[in-house]
Amino acid sequence: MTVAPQAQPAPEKGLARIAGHVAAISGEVDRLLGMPMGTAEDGDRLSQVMAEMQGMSKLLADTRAEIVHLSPPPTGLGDTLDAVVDETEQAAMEIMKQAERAQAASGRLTSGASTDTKADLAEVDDAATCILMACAFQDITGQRIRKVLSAMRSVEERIATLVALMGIRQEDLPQDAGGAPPGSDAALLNGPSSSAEGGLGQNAVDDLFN
Amino acid sequence: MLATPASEGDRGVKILVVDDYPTMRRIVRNLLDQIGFKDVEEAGNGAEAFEKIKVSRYDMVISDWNMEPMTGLELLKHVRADAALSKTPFIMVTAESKTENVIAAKQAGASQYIVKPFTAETLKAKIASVVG
Repeated sequence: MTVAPQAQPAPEKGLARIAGHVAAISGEVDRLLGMPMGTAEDGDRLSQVMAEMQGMSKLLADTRAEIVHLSPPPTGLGDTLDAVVDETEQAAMEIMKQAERAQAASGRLTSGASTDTKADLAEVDDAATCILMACAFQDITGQRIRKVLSAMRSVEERIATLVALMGIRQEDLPQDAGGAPPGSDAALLNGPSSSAEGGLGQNAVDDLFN
Repeated sequence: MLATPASEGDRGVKILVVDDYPTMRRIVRNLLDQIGFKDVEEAGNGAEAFEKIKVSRYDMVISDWNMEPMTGLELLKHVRADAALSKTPFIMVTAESKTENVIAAKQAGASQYIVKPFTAETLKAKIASVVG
């Protein structure tokens, strides 16, 4: 069953609102905890209630702290990934440019059209060195991606902690959030899939296709 | 370099390469050049490709799938639905590699299906199978 989408406040505003409510409740509990003790015969029950309320207060404080920590990390993850996209594209372009330079020189050498064989051989060698150097992008983009992964893992942990603190169970979570309807053309747009995800190799594709 | 001599491939065949990534268009164009296909044009998405196909006749379309505003699958369906274009050989070259994708492309009338990343030999073999 799908639930009709409802107008929802922006996540950050929603979080700020929840944090505000939690702070108010927490303050109220603290105030109650500060009130004078009752008569002696109520002592046991009162201390029990006190312990309950202290537990509740701590839970609320923890929840508030978790919500505050849920705000996006200061480093722009999107910007970091954009940089990775740009760097890989630049590197690919550079590698292709150099490969085509080498192809052109080797083409002149094989066809006998070369007017300076030594220069053409040097050109192939230089292009190969440029390709090697352009592959340095992998180090830089690898570091950027690792940074994003570590930030994502920490957000994931915070959310898991918050979900546990709030006592949200798996069955409370909305099922089938968005996504294209099965069988539609849009449902076929999944991008690359590993073999574990059901992606086929060329031979398996050929078997299906021919 | 591929084994095929440059003279073997061409025979005046005009090819349209459709992909939203300029790097992939350049790779395909380079491989086509190596196997002797010199008359190659490019489009960045299905809509742009279909505009070109309607104006100028192509002997083969080599297209990516996942593009906007028109996907390769939609482009294929448009081409197959047009009586004047319906026989055009159409090779899908895509990272989409699930069984349902291959079946959908086959049902829509794709001539061949190449999974990215592919080898030069695969591209060459598939082209040979559709141009005969």
